[in-house]
Amino acid sequence: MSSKAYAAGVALALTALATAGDHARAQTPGACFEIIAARAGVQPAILIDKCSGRTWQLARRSGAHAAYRWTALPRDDGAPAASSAPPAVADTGKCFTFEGRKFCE
Amino acid sequence: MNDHVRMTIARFPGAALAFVVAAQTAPAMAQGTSVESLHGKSITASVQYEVQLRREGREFAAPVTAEWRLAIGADNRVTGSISRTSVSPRGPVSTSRPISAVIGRPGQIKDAGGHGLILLSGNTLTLLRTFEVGGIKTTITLTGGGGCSIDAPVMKEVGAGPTRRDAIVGGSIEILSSRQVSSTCRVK
Repeated sequence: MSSKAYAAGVALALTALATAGDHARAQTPGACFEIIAARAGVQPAILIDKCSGRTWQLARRSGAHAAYRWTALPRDDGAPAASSAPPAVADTGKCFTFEGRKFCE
Repeated sequence: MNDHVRMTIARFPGAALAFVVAAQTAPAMAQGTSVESLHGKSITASVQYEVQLRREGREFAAPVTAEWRLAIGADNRVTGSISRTSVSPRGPVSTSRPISAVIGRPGQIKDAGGHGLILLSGNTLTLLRTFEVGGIKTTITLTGGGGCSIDAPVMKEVGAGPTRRDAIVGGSIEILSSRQVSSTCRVK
């Protein structure tokens, strides 16, 4: 295999990766949602609905049917994380939405 | 892996190398300073602002320095304080409030009003705080080796008018504009 073929392969692969990334973004249902990755022992994965401000954390339910489920993020003031609770946060760089209010630089 | 990628690798073996490099590089880039490594240490950061303020109908400019002292505990709780110092017509004034929050859990700021939330993503700690009107987004980026940087712009609230928050000297004050002019940040 010539170096030209390797170079062409690398270029094609990177192009394919970029195309696949664009395709994935374009197909993402509901661009509202963003996931903040979990940090082992520090922070669970957090799902943010940037459109409504609602947030969930990934939690493991134990028992006979143990499974990971998204559960509404509880609030520090003890208020229940009911579905009708005020939205929590969505951070989009120059703007963030918190408690149903939108803030921008 | 889709058919297009498989065909690419079959025809050009160099593509496989590129995929391996990409696969190994992406997670490494996503990794940040581990919070576990910060246990027992503290983050001290300060930001100096030039602020245009309005209080009781009078507008004036003032330098304001905000200083964060944060410690991250093993229980994911961040404790510390935020202090603000400025110079009023009557001389220097300052105030300090405690910080105690669990990463990822929104909380109400009882003594000053508003809400707060600390998030951790990669090597970045983000502190969101809302005021009576407006808020502030503090981003502390840990750079390793005891280094960090801080960016803490005051954020305008969309459709709510001038930013209004608790004043250093008590009561509330309007922030008409603010500009971060310098900052310091260190981990020790």
